[in-house]
Amino acid sequence: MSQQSALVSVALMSILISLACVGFGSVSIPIDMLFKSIRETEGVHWTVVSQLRFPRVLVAFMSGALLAMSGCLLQTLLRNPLADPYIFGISSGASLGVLSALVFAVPVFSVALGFVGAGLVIILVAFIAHRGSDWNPYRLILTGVMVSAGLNALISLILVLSPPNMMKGMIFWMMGDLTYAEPRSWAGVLMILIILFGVIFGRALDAMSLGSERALAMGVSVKRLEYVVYLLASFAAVAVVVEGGAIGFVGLVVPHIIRMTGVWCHRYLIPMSAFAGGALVVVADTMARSLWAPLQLPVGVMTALIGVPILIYLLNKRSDVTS
Amino acid sequence: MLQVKNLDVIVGQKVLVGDLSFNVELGQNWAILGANGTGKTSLVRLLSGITKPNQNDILVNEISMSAYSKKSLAKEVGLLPQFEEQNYWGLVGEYVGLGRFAHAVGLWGQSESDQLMTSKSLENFEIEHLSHREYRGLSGGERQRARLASLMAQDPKIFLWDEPLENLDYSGQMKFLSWISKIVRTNNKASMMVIHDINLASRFFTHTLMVFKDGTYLSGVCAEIMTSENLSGLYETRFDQVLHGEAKLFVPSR
Repeated sequence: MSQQSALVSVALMSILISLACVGFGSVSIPIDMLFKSIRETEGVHWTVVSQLRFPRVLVAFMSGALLAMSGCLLQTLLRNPLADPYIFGISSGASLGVLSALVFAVPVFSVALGFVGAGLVIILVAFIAHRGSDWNPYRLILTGVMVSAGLNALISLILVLSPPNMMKGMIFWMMGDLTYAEPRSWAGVLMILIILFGVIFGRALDAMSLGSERALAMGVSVKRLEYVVYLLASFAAVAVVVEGGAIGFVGLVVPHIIRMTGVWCHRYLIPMSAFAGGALVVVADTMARSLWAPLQLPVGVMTALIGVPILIYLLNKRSDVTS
Repeated sequence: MLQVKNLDVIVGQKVLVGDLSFNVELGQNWAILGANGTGKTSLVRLLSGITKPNQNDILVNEISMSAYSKKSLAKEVGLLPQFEEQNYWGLVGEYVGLGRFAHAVGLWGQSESDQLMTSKSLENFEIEHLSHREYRGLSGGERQRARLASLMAQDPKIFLWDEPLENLDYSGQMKFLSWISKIVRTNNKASMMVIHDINLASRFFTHTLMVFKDGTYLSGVCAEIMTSENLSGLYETRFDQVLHGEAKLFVPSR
């Protein structure tokens, strides 16, 4: 299958799966009722669909798309298969901001403080990685992991010191939970922007996977490209984390799943990661809110439970994947 | 074409080669010789523009290298580094096609002339039958051929090669060196190659740059400076010259 047709089929499948998930939940809506309510735009089903289900599916899709593309970009930037959107501690920075808001009983500021925390991490990591010498993947990844570890220690401290009745909410949020998330238009704009970036600069990103020296010799403006990739990947992670918490595994696993199906050019890899990541989080979130309904599970648990077996299956099937 | 004037090759704080000056003109085929760690790789990195000299800019077509955009420089000078990261997941044909990056017009890249040049490069290095295989799955020698082909596809005026013979079998080495001599002569190109095989160097190249351990250098026409005396000093090993038909060969002795 060519990369083009793979992209088209994954895109169609993801959209169909996501739409189907609008019908699932604590109130199951059969497909004919679903279409009927959409046609009539009234009734109980319509209220459920338009007020609850559709926004939820939309925010889940956007989160998954942003995370998968962020992970894909960072795996290329850092030339490291273990890179994921949270490797620099962006989620930890945001968590620290949000948790402080909860602890100090100013939940209205939680999103704002989440932004502040994540923004400070983006600046801090870039600044430390840049000092002394040029930034390179090695410095960048070590800096990120260290900043992340430091922040996680602070988060643990907050969790331990906070009153027990708040602990569960905090842990849910840290595992990724879309219960209170809302689809934001700027997140949608960012998603489309990154897809376009991947399509337009795909060849330069392909060249980057040969290392910055080789890419430079081929005529790629490596420095500029690296800054843009760093910022886009970070913003994508922030956009997800402040709404839905640190939804795990999507950013790590989805790009690998796509690569293993034989799509490698970033021009196709980035948009396909977006669609597949979106569908994965939509399915995971649908399961999270319907399996134990009315109890809602954190979506981050489900993404790992779905994504990990798929990757392990593909890894076993493709014995030639080494290094 | 390529003018180097009073260039210092510096690694860390140490000046490996000082006050280096030479000119490379189209039609010339240079070998860069020297013992390990004398700054040959740092030199070709400077010449390709991927690192910047501290002072005394290098001139390409009489214009300072730093005045070029990355893409336009890549059409003038192209380097194949000795190593690269092995994260490329694509097919061999696509890998070689990436060499056309600097020539891509518009967003979608790959014009007809790009594709033509890519397939010519695949053919030249006898890997066209591998073009639909994954690059990662190739043997070391096949990979090296694909790497050479990608710089051929980049089609710069001056080729810079850092130990390109690695992993190539004898037939691959001979074909590659003959191809380089041929395009330098007939297509108005220039080439500089870091190489350790002095007998191949004396046979195929027109000019030589020798980089000595003490930071001095010699540059000039092969016939003049490729002497057993200079080579003995260069590698701190005694070389005897023997004649094999027309060709001068150098045999190291203990």
